[in-house]
Amino acid sequence: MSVDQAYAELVNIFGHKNVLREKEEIQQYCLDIYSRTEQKPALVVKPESTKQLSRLFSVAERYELHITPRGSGFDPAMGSMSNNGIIVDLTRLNQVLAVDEEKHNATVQSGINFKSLSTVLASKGFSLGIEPVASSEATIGGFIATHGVGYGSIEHGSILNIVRDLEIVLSDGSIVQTGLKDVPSYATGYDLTRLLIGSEGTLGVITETTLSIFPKPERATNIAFTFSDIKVGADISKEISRNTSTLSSAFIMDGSLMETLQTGSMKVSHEGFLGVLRLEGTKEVVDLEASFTKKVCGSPLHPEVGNRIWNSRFLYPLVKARETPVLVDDYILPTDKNTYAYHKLEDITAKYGLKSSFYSLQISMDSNLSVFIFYTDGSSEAHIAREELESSILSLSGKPCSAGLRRKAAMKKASPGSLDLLKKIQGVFDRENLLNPEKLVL
Amino acid sequence: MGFETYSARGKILILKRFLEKSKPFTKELIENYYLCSACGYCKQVCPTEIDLPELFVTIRSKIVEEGLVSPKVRDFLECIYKYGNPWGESRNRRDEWAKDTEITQYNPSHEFLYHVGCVGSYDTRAQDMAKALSDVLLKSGVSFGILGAKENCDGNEVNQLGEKGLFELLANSNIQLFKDLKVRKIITLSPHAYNAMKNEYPKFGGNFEAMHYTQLLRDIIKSGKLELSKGFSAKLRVTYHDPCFLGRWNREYSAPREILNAIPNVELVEMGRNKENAFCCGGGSGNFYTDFLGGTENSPSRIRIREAYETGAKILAVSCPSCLIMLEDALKVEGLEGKMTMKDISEIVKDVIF
Amino acid sequence: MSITLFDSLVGIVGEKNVSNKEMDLICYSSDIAPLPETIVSTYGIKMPSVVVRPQNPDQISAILKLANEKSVPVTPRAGASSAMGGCLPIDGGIVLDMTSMDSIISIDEEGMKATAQAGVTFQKLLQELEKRNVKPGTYPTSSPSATIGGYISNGGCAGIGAPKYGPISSQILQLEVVLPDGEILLVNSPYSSLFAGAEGTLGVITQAVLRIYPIPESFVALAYGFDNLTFACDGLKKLLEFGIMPNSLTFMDKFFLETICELGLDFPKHEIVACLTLEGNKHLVAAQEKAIDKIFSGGKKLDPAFAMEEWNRKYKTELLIKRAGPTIILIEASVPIIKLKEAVNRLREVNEKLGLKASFYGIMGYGGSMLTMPIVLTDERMEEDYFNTLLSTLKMMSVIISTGGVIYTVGLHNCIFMGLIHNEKKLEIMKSLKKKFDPYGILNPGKLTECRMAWLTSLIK
Repeated sequence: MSVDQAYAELVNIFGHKNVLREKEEIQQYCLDIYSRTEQKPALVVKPESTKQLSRLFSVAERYELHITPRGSGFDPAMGSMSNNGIIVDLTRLNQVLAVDEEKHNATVQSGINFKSLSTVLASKGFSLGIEPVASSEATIGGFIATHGVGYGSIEHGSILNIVRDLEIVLSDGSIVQTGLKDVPSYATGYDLTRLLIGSEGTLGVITETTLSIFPKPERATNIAFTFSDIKVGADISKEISRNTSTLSSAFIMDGSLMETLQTGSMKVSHEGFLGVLRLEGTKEVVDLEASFTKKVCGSPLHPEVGNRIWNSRFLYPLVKARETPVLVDDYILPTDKNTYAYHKLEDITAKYGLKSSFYSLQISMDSNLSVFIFYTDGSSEAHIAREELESSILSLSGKPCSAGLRRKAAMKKASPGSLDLLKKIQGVFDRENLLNPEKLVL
Repeated sequence: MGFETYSARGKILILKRFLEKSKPFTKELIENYYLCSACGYCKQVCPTEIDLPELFVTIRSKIVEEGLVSPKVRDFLECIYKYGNPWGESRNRRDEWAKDTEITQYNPSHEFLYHVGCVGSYDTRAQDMAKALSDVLLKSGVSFGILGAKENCDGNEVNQLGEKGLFELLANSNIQLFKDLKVRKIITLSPHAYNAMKNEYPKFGGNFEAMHYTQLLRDIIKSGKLELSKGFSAKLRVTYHDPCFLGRWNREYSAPREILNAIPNVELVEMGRNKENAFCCGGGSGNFYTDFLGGTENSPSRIRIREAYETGAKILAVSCPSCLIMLEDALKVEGLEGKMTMKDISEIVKDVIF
Repeated sequence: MSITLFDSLVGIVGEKNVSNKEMDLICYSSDIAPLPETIVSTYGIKMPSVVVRPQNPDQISAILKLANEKSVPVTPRAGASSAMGGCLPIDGGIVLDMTSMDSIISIDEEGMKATAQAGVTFQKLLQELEKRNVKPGTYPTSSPSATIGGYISNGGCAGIGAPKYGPISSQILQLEVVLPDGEILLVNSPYSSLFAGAEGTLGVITQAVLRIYPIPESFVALAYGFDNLTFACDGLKKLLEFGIMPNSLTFMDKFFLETICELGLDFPKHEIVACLTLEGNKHLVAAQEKAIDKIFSGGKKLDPAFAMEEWNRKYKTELLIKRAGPTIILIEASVPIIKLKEAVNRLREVNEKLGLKASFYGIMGYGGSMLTMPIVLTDERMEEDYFNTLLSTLKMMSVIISTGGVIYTVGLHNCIFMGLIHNEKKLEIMKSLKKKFDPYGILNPGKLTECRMAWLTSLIK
């Protein structure tokens, strides 16, 4: 069987422990972490270096096995899952290669996760500026491939602004440095670095990246507050973002998510909603703006509660703690449509007699990253509810954060021109059509 | 807003190429250099600070020398030469507008010579302006007289159009006349005359104290000689259009504004493009007569009227007879009659003091 | 030129928006760089056969379809305020004058974005936005002429606002583009990045939705004079280290300043004069000024009135020196600030060796880069001299590249350096992208990836 032969060749290149095919070995790659839907790859390969990885492609081509790059698998659209292809698990490529404190950049391998990277940067007095909302165990490569936005985006924008250079491997095995060493590559011909961002593993496998890093702020303050009407939270967020210069994150979550928040002995009521505002900057300005912010919030929670909530801000642990499968969808929505979207969620949840959760992070003056979670016991209602909600959100000018396997049609509806463009570009980068042929492109 | 060929950059570039390759000038090429109102904005924005208006005048003077001007320009110049005004009207009718006023002929005992100019003398709408100013000056007790039928074109437009020979003639004869009449101070109705007398006549030995009427009016108001306290009965929104030859060419932006601000109940609002960035009405360099820049919905005067209307002003104030007639025509064509009124500053002051 | 092409174009845009008059064709065959006969014949530059002023994307789509059918090159152009030859219609054909499409469609102060056609100049955008107390992030010092479409197409990562707000491409929310085959696309960020820096070779940008920003509470203009290049460059490096991002920073060197003073202007005379502006929250700006005073203590703090004057003159200063030319050759290179001193020193060596009259003007860019512009004074009327000087400037560019800098905008004249900056594989990908989007090679041919002047490099050696 060709898979057997492919396996043998790959073991030769990568070593026994780095090529997986047995059911128990590949189990974690078959199940989507949220919904536990199954999607079985033929093989999983775990390269230890870029050079090693580049040798994968000729084998894959010969045996007609398509390739799906994967970080930690946090994409809700199942972008890092594969149906009978080869999953390339990049988490072995997890080294910090260099931190340049003069030039304010860091070169890392793409399989490093945010937790490890922040720890290294923090020890030198720097931070990455933005991080994902799902989990600190998400990889930087995945974040780049899905045009990541998250905490800190109000200040720093999306990962588009942070990436300076990429090392990628194309489907013909060639290793390409997309940017330039010491200078930005915006005015030196077609900007190949930028093309890879949001390309969801269809143009090349990202193996290394050089990123801008930022000196740790002198002061960071977390202000948490509760409220009962979602509009109140939206209004507060709007006012703060318009009147402060140090706001770096602003998010809300509903009561159901608060249940699993780790606030220790300082319990927070689960009625209504929780809002968190984080200010970062110089001592003087943050303190000034913090007192303004606290006034606007009315009666903020104890500062220690704010800090603890910030420390448990990642969504995946909150959701996982419930121990039931969930249908998760994340969208970029215009800020002024966010409240309608929440009400739609409420209506649909009630209609199908389900349980749901809602989370929303402001990422710019006019857009939010909102996450809609349906708790499911495997019944079809949750899926129907999910689809109905997706329609509503698209009609509110929402756009799924990634297309992956599950949301291609939605992405096409939300951003048709973009997909057409990516299709054209893919023809240039991946002539053998090996990379994620089913994803993104319809 | 048209082809780049007609911008200052375009005009220079094509001239360069034609000269480099010794190509003969086409009719259209020549016409290009007359698609210019001498507004002076090109000089202001030029990073290399080239005196483009002067360069264009030089180019036009070469065109005039070669006898290649278009018929309209030729008519303009010929009429001025023969009749002292571009319309070919009789010299004797030059002071008809002053017939029923108390203005007297200038004599050496007068402090000021009031130079009215061609537009103010012969155009019916601009005559209102000439009259309004004389009424205001008389009420303020200013000692002045006019030349009447003896007044001749100041020559500013003639100079801009490149007819250096005729300009020299006009300048010299005016200077001689002024000297004979022992003129020391001149107030001009038109900023064009102000420019010529202040900046060009000295080159021909004519050194007079030339001022634009808004400068004198401002001084009069400041000294308290004019009673403005009545003001307007209700708050009136006014916007002011800087004439190129008063503003950009001679950097006088404040006198007219000081006058307007001294009137109670005037709410002065500025157009987006004001003072040194004011957008020309399109009347300069003889264009108030030749109208080369007109004829479309995007002629300078129509664009400017729309800009003024956007401010919500009820009155568009000007301080130049050419601006007055250009913009008033545009106002009518834009269908804004009744929604906004054109008034010269002297007319506004007159409305308030009488 | 066949009459049918002209008539077809009249059919698309209307009579008054098409011209094949000689003086129009001459005007549209140039950008701001001089084009003496030697250059024209060496580069094989043809005259365009017609100029068209499209009014909307549908017309552009029809024009491109026609162009593909008849294999006629199409070159988009607006302000033509670049000197890299990117908008020269070197293969003749149709010039697409985008300046008719100069409407600002909407300004959304709630959502902090503005939608404008590609032919809107940044000056117009600034003026309109200012009325609503908002501003664009990054814009060029050529704003009176430079348009949104042009600045985006040319990369837009140096200019006013660049150090603080980033490259223009990160401020794009959406682009409307007409592809070479006539398809009209609406493309959202991040995919819109393809067209940023593509210099009008992959599509014609017709409209952009740009992020806008509130006008900050505080704005301050500062200037410092250094009598030592090292102190200046070290100061700049420290600025980066401390993470202080000015709104803008420009520098002028001794020769520039001396020449300007000879022209009658009163500029302070130092080895390097740096002018910068800060904006933001009141306390932040005050703190930044204090920090910069310390960082630049190797220099002298100059009269703030001079600094403000320089800010008010920001669109003009760079080109003032042309009066001493009468011709200037402007090289634009993006140099990493940490290598700036080395680059300037090496360029001065070349300058001396070749007997050139070069001065330096720099504009800080994004990401620790300085758009360094050696400006060489020359006289285009002395054709042979001019050509030799041009070759010398090409040599200067290769020196800059060898010190770690890169070209800033490729256009026509900088194509020859692409091989020095990018490796084979990248160039291959770029060429394939071009071929994919423009299979008949009609959109802005002869630029960027299509270098025809490779033989020039042998002359530079």
